[in-house]
This record gives sequence, structure tokens and C-alpha cells, in this order.
Amino acid sequence: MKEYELIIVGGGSAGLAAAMGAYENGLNNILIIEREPELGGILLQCIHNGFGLHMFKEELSGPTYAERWIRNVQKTNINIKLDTAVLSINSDLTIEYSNEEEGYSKIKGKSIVLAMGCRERSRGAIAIPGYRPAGVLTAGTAQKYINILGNEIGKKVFILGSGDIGLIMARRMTLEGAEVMGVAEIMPYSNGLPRNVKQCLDDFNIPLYLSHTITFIDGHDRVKSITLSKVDDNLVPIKGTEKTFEVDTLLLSVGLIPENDLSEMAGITLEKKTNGPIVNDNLQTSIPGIFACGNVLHVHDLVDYVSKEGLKAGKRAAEYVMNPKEDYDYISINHDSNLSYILPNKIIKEHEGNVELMYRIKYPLKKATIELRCGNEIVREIKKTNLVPSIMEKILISKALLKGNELTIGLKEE
Amino acid sequence: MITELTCILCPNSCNLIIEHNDKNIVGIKGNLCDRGITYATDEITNPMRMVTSTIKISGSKNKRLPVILSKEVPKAMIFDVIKEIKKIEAIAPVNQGDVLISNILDTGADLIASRSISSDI
Amino acid sequence: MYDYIIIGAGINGSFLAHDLSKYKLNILVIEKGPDVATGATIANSAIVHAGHDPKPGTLKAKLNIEGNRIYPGICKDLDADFKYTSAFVTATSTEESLSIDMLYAQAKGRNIPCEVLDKKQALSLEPNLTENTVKVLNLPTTGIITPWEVAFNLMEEAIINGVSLSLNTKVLGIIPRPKTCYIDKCDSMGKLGYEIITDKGTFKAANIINAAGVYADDIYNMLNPRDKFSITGRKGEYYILDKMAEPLVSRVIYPIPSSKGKGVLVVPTIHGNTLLGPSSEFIEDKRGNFTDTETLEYVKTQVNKTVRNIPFNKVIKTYAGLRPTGNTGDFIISESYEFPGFINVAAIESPGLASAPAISEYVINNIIENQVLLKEKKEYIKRTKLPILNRMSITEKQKLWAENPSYGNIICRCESISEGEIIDAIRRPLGATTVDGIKRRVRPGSGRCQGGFCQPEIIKIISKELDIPVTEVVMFNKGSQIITKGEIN
Repeated sequence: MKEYELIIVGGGSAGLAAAMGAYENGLNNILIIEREPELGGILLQCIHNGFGLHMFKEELSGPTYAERWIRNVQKTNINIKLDTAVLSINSDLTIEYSNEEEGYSKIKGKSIVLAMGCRERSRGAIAIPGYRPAGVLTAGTAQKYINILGNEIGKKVFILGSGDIGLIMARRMTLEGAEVMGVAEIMPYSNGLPRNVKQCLDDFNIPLYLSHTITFIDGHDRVKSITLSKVDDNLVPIKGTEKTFEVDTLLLSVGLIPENDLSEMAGITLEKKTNGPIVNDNLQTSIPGIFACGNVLHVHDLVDYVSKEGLKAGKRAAEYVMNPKEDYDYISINHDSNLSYILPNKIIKEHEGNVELMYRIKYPLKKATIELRCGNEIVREIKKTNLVPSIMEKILISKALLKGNELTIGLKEE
Repeated sequence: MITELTCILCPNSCNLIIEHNDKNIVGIKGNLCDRGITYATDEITNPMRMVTSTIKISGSKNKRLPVILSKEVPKAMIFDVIKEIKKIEAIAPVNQGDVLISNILDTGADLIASRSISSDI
Repeated sequence: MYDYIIIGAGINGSFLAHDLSKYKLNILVIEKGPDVATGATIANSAIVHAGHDPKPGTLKAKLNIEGNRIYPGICKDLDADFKYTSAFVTATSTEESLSIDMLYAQAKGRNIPCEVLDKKQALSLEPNLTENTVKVLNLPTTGIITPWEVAFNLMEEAIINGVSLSLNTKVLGIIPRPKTCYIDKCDSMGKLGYEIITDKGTFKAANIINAAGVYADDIYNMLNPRDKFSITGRKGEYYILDKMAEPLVSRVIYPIPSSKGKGVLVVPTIHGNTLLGPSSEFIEDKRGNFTDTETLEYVKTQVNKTVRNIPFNKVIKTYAGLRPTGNTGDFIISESYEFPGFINVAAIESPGLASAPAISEYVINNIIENQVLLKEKKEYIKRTKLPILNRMSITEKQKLWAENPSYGNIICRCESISEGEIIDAIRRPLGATTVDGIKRRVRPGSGRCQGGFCQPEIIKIISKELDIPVTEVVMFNKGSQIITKGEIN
């Protein structure tokens, strides 16, 4: 069985960064496995700009950002398998993959980095009532049809979900000659960047219906119309507020789910709140030698942070290969209920220097104080303003401040 | 007239209230900093936008080439710019940064390739 | 002129077409949908019930018991999945326990293997049963199948053996010839015939089998018979849960049945998913297979009574379908007295799927044998078995790849389906021509991403194989195109 020092599952932004992180830290025998015909992942279809502000101090399009990383990888001896699907990851760090060129093979890694990204939540998963006609697509799939394949997928569109993908596609489809009749958002606030609300909706006079959701999809064969309803404070549709729009297309931008079926099959423990693997501050999962980064770990907003996380995972994987260690003493990390999640889930006690924590808030808060508590003692307080769930926040804390076996992150609303 | 805008420069997302006669600003309220004034003024007098799209490419397994402008253009020209973009096609190989249309519609912005695509020969 | 025209290519039409294809008969199947199995066959719980609960003395009881007995052998012969999962009928109150005792007695009287288990035993076998479980009836001969797979394989073998199939063909009228022939039962060996007028032309048959599902009454009524029956669509809505590392249940879980039917169930599927449903509401519009929030909430409430820890965050799809409920309380399987040669196989609602092979046998042995001389063909051609790679060892897969490298190109990652298998599904005798057809035959689109990643590839493959532009590739019916323009500027 062919063995590598590191096998990276996924050649998108996380995987590319992990490869560079591992290479720059001394690994010589790295393999990236990518199921698409090219490296770059989802960035290849994100033709809009806004990528790279932190990493390169420039505002690049997705493909340009990806190409920077791909060029770096191509300059090294990092092995790449394209058009290759990973079928299983096993706890003994073997991987089964398949492609047209080689057929079915099994390989082994001294370490593995999971970088599979995420998938979109489907119509079925949120149980939108109605018929099941053609013309209902998730925004990312529509983006693939339009930007990669050059297909038109509809002419009169409604969009559910005001996250960035939904907003971006509202603009994209308008520029391609479609009529976007509106964007519905179940929450009373938009989930996307204000810049995107402005430049994707306001610029084109596309109405944003906050506190609304879609309560019926009509059409036996192709979408004929959608029904929009207002929702109450409990997000329950209010009878009598129904409005029907005659459209032939409904795009859904209703959430991203880290793609961890391979991780689960390997026996890796997942965190219920993120749907991603539980990791320590080395980004190592519950299986020693297997690390995770990027959207497969938790859904990111900025690709720059994905790259940073990837670099770190690659570095830690390299360190593990040079010096495999399994047992650690940990400080476990918990959080109050007004935070959605916090990562990592535990910190290695013997680590020194700074620890970076990442979290998301559950609902928007104009003013709040983040409290870091070890036992009953507050070790750090950070005042924050304008916290929103759609933006992942970071805390940098000196490891020396942490005592005991537990760190709890709390949020005091003001 | 009064135009209400949400400033997009920082997470404060100030609600700006701008009084103006068409393109002449009379007064701006609601900003927490001076950057908001600049933003409001620009947005009223001369709003600029980035435009990205794709064009057809032949000679490669890839079917579309993503394209981007080298700088922002007036918001009012977005659809005209798109129309111009749709007039051209690319032939592989293309390198990221290649100028596909120079000084598009006299805006001073070039249309450039967002990525490289190699030829499949 | 056909010996038999079968109207409806659902599970019953498919069994009949298949079983009759063994004889020297000229047979045509007419189906209004774009594929085999588009009605009730894809809108049920996919269970081969043990036969414990239909009312005594009914065809439902008789044919369910028989169907349950012969299904495994038939599936093996067709290379279709059949799995014994066992079932629990669960009582969650002392009152409901009485029903367990009744069902136990009824099952025992029918020689159906069964036993009553107490709460402790039941929970040790199915730990996700609710705390309220008082006792359960264990029915080990309960099985599950993939209904459309059985229908496809049946119809395909029928086609290979000479049966004609006309899809996308809607029956508009039926004219008996000669026009007048009422009470006296004519010798139907060629003396009586029917003309079936469809939107694809007129077909002539000596005999007709009406297996038209929810439309069976509309079809029979075209003759304006005096003994009309009526079929009402009974809508059932379901949730489908994703595959899970730890299955929620390994058995079919029934609540205590009521007048509405078997109730809302929790059912493991052949492919590892879990079904929650169905609901049961009569609906006037026979095309009304839409889901609605109240009913889905009802399904949730009901399943929570029998099973706990249901991971509703793992729902990947909801759907609704109509089952045909007749006005007689039983299956309507008989030759029309007024119109000899016209056989109704109607009102085949639960336990219709489980009874289907027995229904076909019943029709052939009790009705058809009296209508025509059944001469067995000397040679019967079996359909070709198609490989399913995600069930094979790596060595077996590698062998297949060596013969055809497209078996190595994985298209559907959620279900690990290769391009080779998708092409097989199009090129097989009853080949897929639609995106839904691919999904039903080989799974892409059934997984957790619901086609989000693979659909563009599936469309490309269909377009290439059928040599049609991508704008003509449809989901299901004509008019259900996904791509509206093949190439934007």
C-alpha cells in the first residue's frame, strides 16, 4: 500500500493552505485528493471579489485568490490527484479512493487533514411545503450552472435566504438578464454583509422581505409560483399574510452544513452544534493524526481565515508526523447558551504562547461583554459591539492566563 | 430630497440620512465618523461599482472564463458594461490578468481575466 | 390487436406484465407517466407487511399473507433487494395493549409467526422506543423492499420477453367492440374487443387490465358501466431521514392501527434511510401530491408517540403521494360482468404493495385462465443483472473498472455511484430518460445533498447518452426542464 506523510482530503482553499503549511514545515511526501477536475474548490465559481483583503491586502475574485495558492502548490513537489473521490477514511489512517485513471485504490497516511468543505442545506431539509417541481435549486448549485457551465437556469426568480450566497446570486442572475422578484429572510435581520445587501439588492431595486418565509411552492413540473408569508416572533408563518409571486425559479440560500459523512464513517467524534469534528487547539480530531480545517470544521465567512486555519492544520500535521504524540492533558472549553459554538473544543495544557478561540453569537447584540472564566474566576473580559451571527469572531488569549481544567466563555448582554 | 443609506464601511452600519438636491449634498446626519461623510457623498454624487462576469472560452475543457474589471466603474453604467462584456469570447490559453478589453466604454477600467485557463490541446 | 392491454405501469401493472410475459400472449402496457412507477408505487412505506392486520375474509388479508410468503423468492429472481427487518406493533397505553392481544390472536390464526414482548424485551431490542411502550407484537416476517426497483426489474424482464410499453400515453376513451354486448357473457376468445383511444393513437385489445391506481375509476367509467366504483386519493406525507452511523430503529415500527389505517410509522429503508409517515387524508384533486405544514407537524407528533430521539435535524426530504382508496373497503379485483374481458385491479391501497405478486397470481389463476388459453413460452429470457459497486469489495470493483474505466469515475459522492453505473441505468432495456429516472434506478439525488453536487453531471450524461440538448433534459414530466438555456452569452 502506498504511504504518504500527509494526505489532504479536498483541494479547495483549506486543503491548498494545509498542503503549504505542511510543506513549509518540513513534510516531503504530501498528497492532495480533489474530486473536481481542478484545484480551487468552491472559489472557482465565486467570481465576485472580496477575497484576500486580510491575506494579500487586495480584494480579489475567488478564482484569482485560488490561483495564488494553486501556483504556490505547483511550485512544490506536492502530489495531486484530481477527478478523484475519497470513498472512505479509516481510523487506521488508510483511505480508499477511486478515479477513472487508476480505478479503486487504498493508500495510507502518517497523518490526514480533512478539508472537504461543506454542502448546502436542501429544500427537503427545511421541508418547504408544496409540490416538488424542477426549478428549485440551492444558490451554490445555481452558481455552478451559471458560472462554470454557462447554463441559464431560470428567468423569473425568487430567493429564500439573505445570506451572502443568496445575495450574490440575486445580483448575478440580474446581470444575466433574469428578473429577481425578491429575497425572503425568515429572521428580522439580513444574514449577509451590509455591503452585499446594498450592492446586490438595493442597487437593483430587489426587495428584501425580512421576517418572511416561503410557505408553498406551486407547479407540477416546473415552478409556477411561490407563496411568501410573514412570520411572527416565533418564526411561525402568520395566516392571512400570504403573497404569491409567479416565478419559474426558487433559489435557496438556507444554510451550509460541514460535509462530515467521511469523518463519521471513520469514527471521528463530531460536535453537534457545528456538525464539524471536535478538535483541540492543534486542530486535531478525536483520532490522533487526523486534523480538520476550513468549512468541514466550521462554516467560515472569510476565505482568508480558512487559509490561516489550513496553514495551521498543515503545520500541526507536519509536527505530528515528526513527533507523533497521542496523550495530552487538556483544558476543556465550554460556552454559555447565547453563543452558538466555540472552537477549539479543548486546549492542550502544555502549550505556551497565545491561544486563538473562534466563536459565533446566536443572535445579534449591539453591546456585550465576553467573559472568559476559569472555574469561578474571570480571567479576561472583552467589550464587543455589533455582534452578529453571520460574522465569526476571534479571541486571542495568553495561555498563561488559563488555570485549572476548564475554560468557559460567557456573554453578558447589555 | 432625502435619501437614507446604511453605511457599509464598518460593522456599526450607521443609518445615514442625506439631504441633497440631486447631486448636491445639503446635509448628512447619523454618521459616527468622518468616513461616513465621504461614503455618503460618494454614494450620492458618484457611486462606483465593481463588475464581474464570465465570458465564453473555447479551446479548453473549461467552458467559461471569469472576468473582472481592473477598477470600479460608475454604477449607472453596470448594464452597459455587461453588454460590452457579452460581445467578446476568449480562446485558451489565457493568463490571469490578461487584458481582454482595454478601457471599457471609456471608463478607464480594463476587463481582465480572473484566472488562467490552459488550452486542452 | 393485443391479447391484453394493461393500463398502468405501477407495481401491479408491472407484476401482471411480467407474469403474463411468460405466456404466448401479445401484451401492451400503457402508462400516462414518464416512467414505470410514478403513482402509488412510489408513495408508500415500502413494507412487505406480515399480513396480520387486514380484516378477515377480505382479499386484502388473503393476498397480503400470500404476497408476504412469495416476495423474497421473487425479489431474488429479479435481483431486487428484499430484507427481513421484523416489525413491532407498539402499544403505548393499557387500552392499546388490548389491540395487541387481538392482533396477536388474528396473526396466530393466520399462521403468521409472531410473539408478544413486554416493555423490557422490546426496549432491549429497540432502545429508541418511547418510555410509554407497554407491550409490542413482534412480526419477524415483515420485510422491506424498494418498490420502484421491483417494478422496474419486473417490467424490464417483461419487455425483454416481448411486452410493449408505451409511456407518456394517456388514455382518453375506451370503446368496447362490438358496441352492444351486455348481460350475456360472450365467449371472449377473440369475439369481444376494446379500442383504447390515447393521446398517442388508438390501440385494440381483446382484453383490458385496469391497473390505473387513483385513476382506475375514471378509466372504468369511460365504459359507463352500471357497476361503477369510486377511487379517492388518500394523501400520505413523509419525512425521509439521512443515513446515520447509529440507526434510529432496525425494525418497522407500527402504532396500533385505527380506522384511518396502519397509522404513522417509523420505517428503515433498504438504503439505510428512515421514513417517517404516512399521514392519511382524503383529497379530491388526484394530482394533489403537495406537502403542507400542518400535516407534516401531525406526522411528527404521531411518530414521537412511539419512538423517541428522532433526529429531525437529519431530515433530507419530505414528500407526498396519493394511494387509491376504493369505496368497498377491499381490493376490487374482478372481471366486469357487463364488460367481459375488462378486468379491474383497483383500489390497491395498503397492503397493496405487499400483496402485489399474489394479486397477479390471483388475476391470472382466477380470471385470465378463464379468458384465454395460456401457453407457456419455451424460452424465457432473464434480464441482465447490473453491478452495484458500493456493495462490492475493492477487488471486485477493480475488476469492473479494468473492463470499463467509467466505473472508477464517481459522480454521486453521497451514495458512491460511478459514471459507469449511471450509463448502465440509461442503456438498460427499461432505461432512464429523466433525472428522476436516474435517481430511482441508481440513487444520485437521493442522498443528503439532494442532487446539489451531482445534478449538473447527471444532466450532462443524459444529454450525451440520449443525444439531446441539455435544455431538453427533464426532471420528470415534459416541461420539467432544469436548464432553460444551454449557453449564455
